[in-house]
Amino acid sequence: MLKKIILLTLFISSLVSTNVMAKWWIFGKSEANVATRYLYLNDVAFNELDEQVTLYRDMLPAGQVVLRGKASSGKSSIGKIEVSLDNKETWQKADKSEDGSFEFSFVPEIDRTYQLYVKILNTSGTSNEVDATYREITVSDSDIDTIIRQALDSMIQAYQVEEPRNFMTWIDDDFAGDYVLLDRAIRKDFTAFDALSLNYTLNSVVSGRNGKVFVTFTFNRQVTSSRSGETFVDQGLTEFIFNVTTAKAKVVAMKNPLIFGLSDAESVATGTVNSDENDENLAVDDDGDLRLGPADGDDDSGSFAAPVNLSVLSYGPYPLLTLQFDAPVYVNAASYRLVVEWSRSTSGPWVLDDEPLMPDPFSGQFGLHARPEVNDPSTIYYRVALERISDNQRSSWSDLVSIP
Amino acid sequence: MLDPLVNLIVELWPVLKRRLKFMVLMFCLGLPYVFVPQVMAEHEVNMYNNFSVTSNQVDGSGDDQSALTEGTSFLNILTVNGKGTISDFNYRYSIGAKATDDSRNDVQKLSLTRLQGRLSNQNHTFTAGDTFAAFSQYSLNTAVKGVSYRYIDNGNNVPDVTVIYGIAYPRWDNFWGLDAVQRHVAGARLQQHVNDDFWVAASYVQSEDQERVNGGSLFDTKTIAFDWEYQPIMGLTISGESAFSDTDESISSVAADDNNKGSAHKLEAIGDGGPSRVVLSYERISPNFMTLLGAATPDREKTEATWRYKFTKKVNLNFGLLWYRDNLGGDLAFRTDNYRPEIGMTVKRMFSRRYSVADVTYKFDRSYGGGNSTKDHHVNLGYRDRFGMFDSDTNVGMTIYKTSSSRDDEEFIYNTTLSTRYTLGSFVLKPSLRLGGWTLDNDLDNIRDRVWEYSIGLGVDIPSMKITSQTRVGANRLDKETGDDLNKMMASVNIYYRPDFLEMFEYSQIYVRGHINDFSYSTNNRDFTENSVTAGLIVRF
Repeated sequence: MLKKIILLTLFISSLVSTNVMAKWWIFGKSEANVATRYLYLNDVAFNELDEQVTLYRDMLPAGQVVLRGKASSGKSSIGKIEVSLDNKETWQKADKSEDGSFEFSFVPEIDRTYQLYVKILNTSGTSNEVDATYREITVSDSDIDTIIRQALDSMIQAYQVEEPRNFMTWIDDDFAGDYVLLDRAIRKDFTAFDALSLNYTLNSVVSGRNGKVFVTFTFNRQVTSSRSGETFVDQGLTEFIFNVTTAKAKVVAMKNPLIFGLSDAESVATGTVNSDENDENLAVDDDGDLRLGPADGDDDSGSFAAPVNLSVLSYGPYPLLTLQFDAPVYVNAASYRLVVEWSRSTSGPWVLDDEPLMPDPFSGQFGLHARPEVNDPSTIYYRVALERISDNQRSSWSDLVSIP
Repeated sequence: MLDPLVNLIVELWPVLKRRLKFMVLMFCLGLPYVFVPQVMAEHEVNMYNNFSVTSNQVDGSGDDQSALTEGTSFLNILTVNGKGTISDFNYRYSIGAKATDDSRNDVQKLSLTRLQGRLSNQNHTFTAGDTFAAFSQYSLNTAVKGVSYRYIDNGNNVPDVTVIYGIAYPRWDNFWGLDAVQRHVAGARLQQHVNDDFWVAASYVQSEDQERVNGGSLFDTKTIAFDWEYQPIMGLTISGESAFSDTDESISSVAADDNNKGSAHKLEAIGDGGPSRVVLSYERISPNFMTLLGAATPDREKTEATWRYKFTKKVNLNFGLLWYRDNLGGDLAFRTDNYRPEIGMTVKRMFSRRYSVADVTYKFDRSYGGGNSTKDHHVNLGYRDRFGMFDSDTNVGMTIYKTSSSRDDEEFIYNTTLSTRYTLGSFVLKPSLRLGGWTLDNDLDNIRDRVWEYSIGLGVDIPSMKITSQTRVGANRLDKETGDDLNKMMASVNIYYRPDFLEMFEYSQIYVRGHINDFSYSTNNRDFTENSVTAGLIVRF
């Protein structure tokens, strides 16, 4: 593993050192020698910002917008560095150090839009690519709660009308659970759900470093399974982390219980909210079936619900025995196997029976050979569990049936 | 000489430890009051309150399927924010509370939702109460109820330092009633800017669980993490993180602890310049890596590459490839590999139409392992345009799901929205029409399920009277070849009014929201109807 990391590091380093100015990632399109080596707006890198940037009054350090960067100018020295806030109509000098680093700050007016450009001139009169530094900055009076509510409302709206493209505009590129996997997961959600109703109320909203905002909220949800037609209702408390550095708040992390991307909870959620109130929440299994279960939403993390309503469909002539039950999840022979135990007493001891063959497709009925002990003058009992083939996780045991 | 003092501390420690969460709470509660009265002259307070009353009625034999609580209930959300200065320090505080008698809104009737105080200047930041000192993705990336201190170096070549202590409760109510594992968290982070292009940081986070809830596990974890970022040339950023965890899991009070050690590593390179943005990343998280306070998916090795290329001013191209696999420890019965390539193109101003935007994406999901094989294809087409005064947005998607011997489905999703805006005297009218559908063909069982939906909306704004409103009626039909069909009729009205008589407030709004949902199943005893009306008042000052 360490070897792979070292190899990858060497690979990236080789790309860097081979030809610095070739810049393989812009495919031969050259840039001017005079340029910004780095540029930050209120400590957020320019390349992480959209062209339209909304800053929020509550998050401005000392009420200021601070532009900080470092200029490089090829073989010449840096002449001057200027900033325009009015679409290049007027220019103001930035504070510049000898090594090319510079800083420019201003106290913005609320709701005014600033059209910002940065111009660097070297002593030969060559300028940087000024248009590439363009950002349209608006400072909003909205408080953080309002911003978060707008984001959650818009995401829920897009999710309810099943518009994945619109929904994903509210997800940050650095989404911890992986952007691509969430995109696939919500599309699967749309297949699994219908008639979704989702309401929430914000609890805490806490700002952290670099525009990150930690949010907890309670929610309640009603949804119809498009596979079974069954309606499910649940509620809980969950946590999101937002990135509020662009024109809107974007999600960078979500925890179980999930309200989005339930179809691949294992990949989408990064953690589970530590609260007893999340005792039974909605989850989606690999086949798109809905169920209510523990908040971790992780099918692979533990046992799943037991088969229910175990009964004897037919018995005889000996040894032919057919049992039936209702499965808690969508079951097929490719993903699950049956586990059957028998005992002379309801309290055990239990003995593993031969593994019965699971019919394909499986309707809840299966046949097996009744134990020869059934011919003794006593009753024997059976119980059934399901075992997931992928990880050998086993469900709880069903209720009991007796023969004869 | 110090012995009596040491002995006293040793004797009192068990008591102090038990009362620790209470002491943390009291400290947090008291902090704002220590400094707020001193500076009222430069103090600014904002209050936000949203009070609403809701009346719900649910009828029909299937009314137990509704998420609404019948009857009348209220919800009040209050937030008080303050800020000001003391000498060269800025301070902020925030207190929030929620009250409701509807358990669907919250299981608690009265909740303290937030409590935070922060004191900061250019170098020092003290925070108490709700504290979000995000260290790094793997080590600490969650808020705690506690205290933190951060020192930021400003050119003195001294590392930035952050220390934190608290309890990782998701809500304040966990201190006085609502059960949650009491997870004590302590941590520190040092971040050193080596030069303008390179910084490196080390984080250490320790957590200890107390008070087992519902027989669940308790964890004690120690995580050490190193993260860094390097910008070797303009436009190229390389960053990474390596974390190592040591976790003791107590399954029950009688069982021996289970110890697990694991590691997580991440390396990312972002090239951003001119028309291109390329992201390459590699991540490896061992099966036994456990972060209770960070963010990670254990047992995963992942490589991802994306390339966003602005081909011309009108054409953007996107390419992506994600590969990941599990079973890094070889403990599972088999290993599953997943490949997720995708390609997309966006074309603006097609056919010389000013507002037209067309996009097409193709995504392929491939996973295999242990005899299972999945091949899913996703194709999506979108087109937005303006025709005269009408804006339109249409999406058509098709997905083919193929999983060996268990799934062979074809899914179609289509929706279109047509909307416009028209001013009539002092009224602004915003009618809209939405049509949508979904079809799933299950070729294995020869089953076809369908959803049809349509809705018509009319927004009416009266700016002179500060009124905005939105009315929508529609229907949704789920046709199932096996199982219950569902017909859902819905109607909703939302009206928002900013009255002049509340102008003493910075912001005020009266709102009324109502909706009717009628669910009709082919099994009649599942039918139910929901009627809900909410009236509320928001004030901010």
